[in-house]
Amino acid sequence: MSDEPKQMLMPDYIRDVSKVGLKIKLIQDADAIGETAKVYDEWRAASGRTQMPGILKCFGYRPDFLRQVMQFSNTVHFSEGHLSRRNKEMIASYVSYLNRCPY
Amino acid sequence: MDESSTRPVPKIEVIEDADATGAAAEAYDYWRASSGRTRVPGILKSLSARPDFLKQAVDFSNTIQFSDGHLSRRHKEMIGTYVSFLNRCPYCLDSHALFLKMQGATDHTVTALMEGNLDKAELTGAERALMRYVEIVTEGAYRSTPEDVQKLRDAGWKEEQIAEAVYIIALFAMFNRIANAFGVPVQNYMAMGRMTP
Repeated sequence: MSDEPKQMLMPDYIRDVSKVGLKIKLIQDADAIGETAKVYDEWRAASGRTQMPGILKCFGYRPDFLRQVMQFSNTVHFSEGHLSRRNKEMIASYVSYLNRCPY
Repeated sequence: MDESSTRPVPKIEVIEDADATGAAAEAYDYWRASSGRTRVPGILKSLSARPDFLKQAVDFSNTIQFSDGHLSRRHKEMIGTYVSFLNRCPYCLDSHALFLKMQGATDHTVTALMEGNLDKAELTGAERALMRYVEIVTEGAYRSTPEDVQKLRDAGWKEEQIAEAVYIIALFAMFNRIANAFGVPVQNYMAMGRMTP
């Protein structure tokens, strides 16, 4: 066994998962109306970005819940806590590998 | 055997009601005020390391689970019970089976779902299709296909109901893992036929 780290490869199933594409219809930026449009706008204002990330658009059918998801994600994940942000992202990357979530 | 040797031992320490001070005590009181109950359930005590997150969890659980939405509360509890069976979470299974019963499901159906026996449960065709989808997403969401979702549409479920079902399935994936990782003791709701005060 060599001490050289092995080259990281995207396993086949990750590619297969990505290939399937959208299964449930998302409320896209351009189609958002009412409360959904309002929450999308709040996210744009807070992040300084223009296009809603897909994971947040998944919650577009319940904008009240989407707003809470953004809040608790900031509280517990996108900030330092008892764990460093770095260790949190380490957990998130490995869990996403284990759950086969290419996104 | 005396009772202490059979009582399940929590795996991770939590702050008990009587020991809570500061932000944790405030978060526990926040739950007591919102629920009208007094004894903080184990699943919420599991969040006591982050009282700010605990309060948010109380709020988002009320928003998405403990209320009618695109799906009825009853269907949400049906999903919650079945996911908790699939994830082998005795704490969540016990409490949400009681909630399902309180939503009007028969003992027969509640028991069947707790055993994961869909054939025995009294389900409509649409509910049966929904439970089959719950299974697919819980056992590996990445393996779900556009055809699986189409079957739900064909059974009469609307896009926003399918979306909400996914939120509920994911919510239970989260709480099942927290309860099982902490080793939260079962509250025996089903044996008592009611919640703790």
